[in-house]
Amino acid sequence: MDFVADSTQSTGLKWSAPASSGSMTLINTGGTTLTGASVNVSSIPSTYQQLYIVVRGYQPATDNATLFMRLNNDSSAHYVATSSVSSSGSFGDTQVEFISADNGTTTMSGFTYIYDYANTTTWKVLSTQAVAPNATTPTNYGQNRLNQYWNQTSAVNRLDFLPSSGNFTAGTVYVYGVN
Amino acid sequence: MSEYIIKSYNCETGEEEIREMTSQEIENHLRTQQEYAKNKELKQKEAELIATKRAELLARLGISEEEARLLLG
Repeated sequence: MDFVADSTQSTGLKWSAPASSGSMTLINTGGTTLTGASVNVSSIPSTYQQLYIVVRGYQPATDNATLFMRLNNDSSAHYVATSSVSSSGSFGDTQVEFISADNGTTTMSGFTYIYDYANTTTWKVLSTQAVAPNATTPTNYGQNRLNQYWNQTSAVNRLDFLPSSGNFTAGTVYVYGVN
Repeated sequence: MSEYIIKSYNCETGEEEIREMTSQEIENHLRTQQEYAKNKELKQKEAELIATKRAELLARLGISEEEARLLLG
């Protein structure tokens, strides 16, 4: 909050109204079902601070297939994923990852934040966490907590989802704009 | 219908489109999946090699993995 001029106040000043914050808007109304070989959510408005992407019930047709996501349909080696606290290296991945999953269950759950996705001057930072039934022993879990990065400066306006093998059987993606 | 179906949701218009991938899209899609499978296999082989080397070294030193951890900790 700031002080702003206001002649009706005895001091001539008042506190300004706080900037609106803390809101979350579902951008892809109702969520988008994962089906076929690939699913994309496009024309994402650049009016939010962050993107919060929730995936529920990802189920691949091929056992143990990993859920991938791409930014702006970029399939070049512009991505990297790491679970290290601190590291350095080159960009060699062609997508970001959520998690691999069992092909007989729909209890996978995960999310990714894309910080400052609309800026056009810096690389993008993604924070991902997901859990899914293990493909070999579905009563066991598999989990991922990844720091992922994209070395492009464009605003993110499109997300593509695809499995690392085969097609999607089930799942829903929710893309939220966060302020 | 082809198994290469692409679904698009446009946030601006709210329209959803489901169509078959173009031949170029199928080519890209398959390349992605094949490269990932190849990299995954390489990483797995690398991890197996490291595990084998570690086991060999521990055997040569005559200590367990837990003892090695104690030594380095």
